Amino acid sequence: MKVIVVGGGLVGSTLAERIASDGHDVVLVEQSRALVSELNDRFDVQVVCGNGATVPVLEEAGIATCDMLLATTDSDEVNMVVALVGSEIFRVPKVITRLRHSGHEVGFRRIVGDNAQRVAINPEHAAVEKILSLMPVPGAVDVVPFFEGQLVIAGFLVRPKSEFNGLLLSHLRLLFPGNPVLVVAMRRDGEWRVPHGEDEIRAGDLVYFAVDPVELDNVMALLGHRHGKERRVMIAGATRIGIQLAHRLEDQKVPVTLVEPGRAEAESAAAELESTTVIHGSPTDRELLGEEGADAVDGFVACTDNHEENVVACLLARKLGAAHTFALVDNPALASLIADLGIDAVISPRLLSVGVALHFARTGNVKRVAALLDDAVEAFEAVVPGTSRLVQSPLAQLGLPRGILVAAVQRGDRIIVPGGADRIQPGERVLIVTTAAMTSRIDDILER
Amino acid sequence: MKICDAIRPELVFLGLSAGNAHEAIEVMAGELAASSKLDAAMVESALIEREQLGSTSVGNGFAIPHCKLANLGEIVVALARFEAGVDFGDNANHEPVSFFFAVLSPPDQPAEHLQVLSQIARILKNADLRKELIEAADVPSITRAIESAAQQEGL
Repeated sequence: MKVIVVGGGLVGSTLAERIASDGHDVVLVEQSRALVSELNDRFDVQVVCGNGATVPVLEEAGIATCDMLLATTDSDEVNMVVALVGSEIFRVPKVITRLRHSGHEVGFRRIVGDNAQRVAINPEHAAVEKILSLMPVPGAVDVVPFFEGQLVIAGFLVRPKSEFNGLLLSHLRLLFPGNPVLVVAMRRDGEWRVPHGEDEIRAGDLVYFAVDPVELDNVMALLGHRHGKERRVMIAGATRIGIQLAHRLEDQKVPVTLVEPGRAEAESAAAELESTTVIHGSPTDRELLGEEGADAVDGFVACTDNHEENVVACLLARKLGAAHTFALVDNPALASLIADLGIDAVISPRLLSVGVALHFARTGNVKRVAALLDDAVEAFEAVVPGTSRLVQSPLAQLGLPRGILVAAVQRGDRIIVPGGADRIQPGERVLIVTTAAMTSRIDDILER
Repeated sequence: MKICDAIRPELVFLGLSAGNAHEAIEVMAGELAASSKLDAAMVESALIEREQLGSTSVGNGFAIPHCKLANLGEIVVALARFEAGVDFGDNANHEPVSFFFAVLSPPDQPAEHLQVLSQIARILKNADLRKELIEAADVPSITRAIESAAQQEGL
């Protein structure tokens, strides 16, 4: 497949790299000369220097024969023009554009019509959805449902006091004999792996569990995570994300306190929201957070436009006793620095939009893609065709490469964790977890 | 709940013998009933029911049979040693079992139940502890060995 990515920022360059590593032919278009030379040094992807919203530059990038166009610059207006030129002039089969303002999305939709191959991604919506999916699972850094919610993958950082610290993975079946609870991926000392056999869980590990939802509270209890004293959420920052989140929580009848440092912003938020209590003040003011009851909240979400301040606010809330803290951080360097400080989840709208775009970019039997943290480990839910290698013999005899794990199978109306002696049947749905290095092997294993 | 606090010397049974897993659970349930207010038949059937979901043998000659039991006020941990070993029907994976850590829990304490199971599984990784439990001549040596292993594991 030939793919053009316009915009060489974090989203564009990450997408270009990932799509190229899937084996596609990628051209990246970027206007800034400085950034182009940096991209040339860092990536093995062809880069065209120029304004991607103009036809000659797009032609130079090869739009006439392009199968997929992604518009990922920081400007909604530029992305809109790129996407419309690709869609309406060159009839590119698949077009994806990043649009932050929902008003732009409305215009885009009116022009391209109701076409499933024309996708607008709103990173802020994606961030709100992510926070809402994490909120019911205190302590989780990521929660992704599979098999229509019959199984969830939830990632947790294991703390020294956790009852999982020192447990062998083989013991999970002892603790949870009836319902699926297994570890599908773990990161230790910066290294990711899909675990096998006698691995031991240790403090400091980031561990992804595949869990039957009825066991989630038990897993959380062993991890030492708990719900807050009150089912209340505190949001720092009346940004678009903060306001959207408050609206959604109001719909769920969850009490919300919104702290906003700007007086005008606080007043306009108070006028727009209904049951939410809006406080004018600094989200890094410890005394204020204490007075407003940050100690008892179930969730504390810092989503101001100042991402360093979000980190500080979350650390303060955590110290006061908030059960579950979320910081909006778009800078991967900052995100990796704070990984072990005790903030439960770092939300990056930009990286979330990468995940959504990759999801759309993939085709074939893979019905669902979930890019897990760091993009280093992925989980796929897919239907296994009769022609697949997977159905030919019991799992243990397939000789699957290390780094690929068939974690669960939907068999009838049950989810089972297959053992080495189990054989996958044609047409069954499976959950496969792989390290990024092995992702390109998946199509091979599923198809042949 | 800490594993050391859950172990009671009067519920450590040494010198037992049985022909198979079911019989071993029956023998232990009988000992347990004689030393506590528990009903032997109820304990036995609940443990057997759990065993049918999958063997609780964890290898190296140890098993952690467990169940939830209605009307129990607190978690009960009993230890039982079968000097000649017991065929646990799990021989494909593990050798015969000679030492039980049995855990009986009130149904309304799922987290504490899992905590105790997890702590037992964790201390049993310790080869020195396993050796001492198999070889110990009396109950105090057993409780001391467990306390020291738990401390090493940070419990």
